[in-house]
Amino acid sequence: MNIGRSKKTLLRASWWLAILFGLIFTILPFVWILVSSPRPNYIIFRYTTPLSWRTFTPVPATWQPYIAIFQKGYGRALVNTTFVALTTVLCGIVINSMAGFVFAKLEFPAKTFLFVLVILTFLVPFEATAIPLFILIRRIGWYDSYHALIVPGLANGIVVLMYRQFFLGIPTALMESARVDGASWWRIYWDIFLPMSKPAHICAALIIFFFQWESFLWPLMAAPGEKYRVIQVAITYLSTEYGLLWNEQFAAAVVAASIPLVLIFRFQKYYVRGMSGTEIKG
Amino acid sequence: MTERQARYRAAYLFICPIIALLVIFRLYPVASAFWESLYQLQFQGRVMEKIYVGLRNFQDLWGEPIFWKSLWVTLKFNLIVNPLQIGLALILALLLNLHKNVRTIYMLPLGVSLPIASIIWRIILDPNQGIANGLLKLVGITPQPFFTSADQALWSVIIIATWKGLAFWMIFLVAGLQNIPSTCYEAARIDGANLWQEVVHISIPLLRRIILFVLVVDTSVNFVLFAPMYIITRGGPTFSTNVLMYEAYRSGFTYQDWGRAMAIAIILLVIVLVIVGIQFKAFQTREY
Repeated sequence: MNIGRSKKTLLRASWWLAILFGLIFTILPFVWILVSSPRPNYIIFRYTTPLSWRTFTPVPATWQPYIAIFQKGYGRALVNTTFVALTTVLCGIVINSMAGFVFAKLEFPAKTFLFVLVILTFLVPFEATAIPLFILIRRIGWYDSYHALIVPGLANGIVVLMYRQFFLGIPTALMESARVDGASWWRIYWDIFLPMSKPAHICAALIIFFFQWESFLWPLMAAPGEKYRVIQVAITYLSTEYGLLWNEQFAAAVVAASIPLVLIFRFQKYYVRGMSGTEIKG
Repeated sequence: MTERQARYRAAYLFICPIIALLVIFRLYPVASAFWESLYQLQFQGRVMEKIYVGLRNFQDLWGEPIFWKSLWVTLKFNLIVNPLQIGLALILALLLNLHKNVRTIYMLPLGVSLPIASIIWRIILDPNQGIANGLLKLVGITPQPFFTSADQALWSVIIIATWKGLAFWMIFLVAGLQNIPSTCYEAARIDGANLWQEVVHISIPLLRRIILFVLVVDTSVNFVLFAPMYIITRGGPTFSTNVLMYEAYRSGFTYQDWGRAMAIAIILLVIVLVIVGIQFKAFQTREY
């Protein structure tokens, strides 16, 4: 019995040790970035090696790095990214949920073929087709424009799968009785299915928003100009052109990461459920 | 119009937008890439000039040490990073299955994009002033060169990718764990199984499909990993982090050699398609 207990204590101790090690690895960057972003650079440099409590104390603090990044065009990038992301979310929800509705509830010729097509495109990562896509975009004259950023990101296979999964859970009887009452398919979709699908909309909005907010390679290729520059590209410019101004890069990172972080923790439930549900039962 | 015709018409109208978008912006570029990799391509403003060169783009790649080095780096990176990420994610999922609040903390990097993670970690792993070396100094280890050394640069990229990706894969595995009926564990406990036996004989076998799924998706994502190489290493030092995706980008955007860029993109795409094929097989067995 005694041996069993000490074994249990050991197990518990190693559990906590593993968790603690992982937590340090995960959180340390956040803590350091957050406290260093309002400090002058020479102060950051002074306290990095070796680490001490001073490394993680935000004194002295100044708004200067945060002001500086906005003087370097970061505000424009924020506005651009928000516009691109929100437009993609709005149009993307309609386009992808329509497809999800059809795949969940309607039978028609070539359905399996088209469904496989959608899944295939979701399995091939966007970046893998970025170079040929760039050539197309440049030839049709969309280089450096909002459409180049928005339109190729509208169709999203995982969002279709998620909607399909959600709609499968809505009883078909509901749809059939509406049909008997003479409602058009559009009415059934728009007035019955969409209003019932709030969790799916939240999940879809998060997936699409994150996709656009975090996308980097494609905007770097398709819209690198200052006018259409998005946040990930702008922060990269800050880092390559002003590599030694650590506090400004930190400030930019704090600003760019705060929005997805707030969203993900506010809507964690929907995100986790939607994502994992798609994969497992998909 | 009969009921059936009305349904067909509605179905096609509803999926028309997404199919059009997929065909134009995903399928067409891929198809055209196969075709256009047979040309020498040059942009004159918007217009692209093409000279047919047959398989020369591929033949040139065949003879280039840089290409082979990039292919090797890409494979090596994936052989390490994917098992590592999924293995750690699985351990985390098992450890944290019942600890929702701790899990939430681990999910913080989900909100940080890969470019931002790269910028942050470049500074953390700075050989002279970074806090990683500060931490090492604190415990008495000599400072490490990280990204500035050909031996460590790829490993440093692996650290970034793992930091960023771990929680995402953990979510899927935790969801899988929670789908395992508790009766399975109860039965095992009655038979006198200990914790380790429960994990090895119940959790992991029942998670097999999800593990396979996340492993393959993770692989297809990591084959086209780009941001850390662009932001931190530029493929160096001495091409030690020069993955194919970065080589393709550089070929097109730095050297304007679009034929070569297309040829590399095709090779990358074929690799990804093979992985996707395996994935699709895994998917199908899961009863669509």
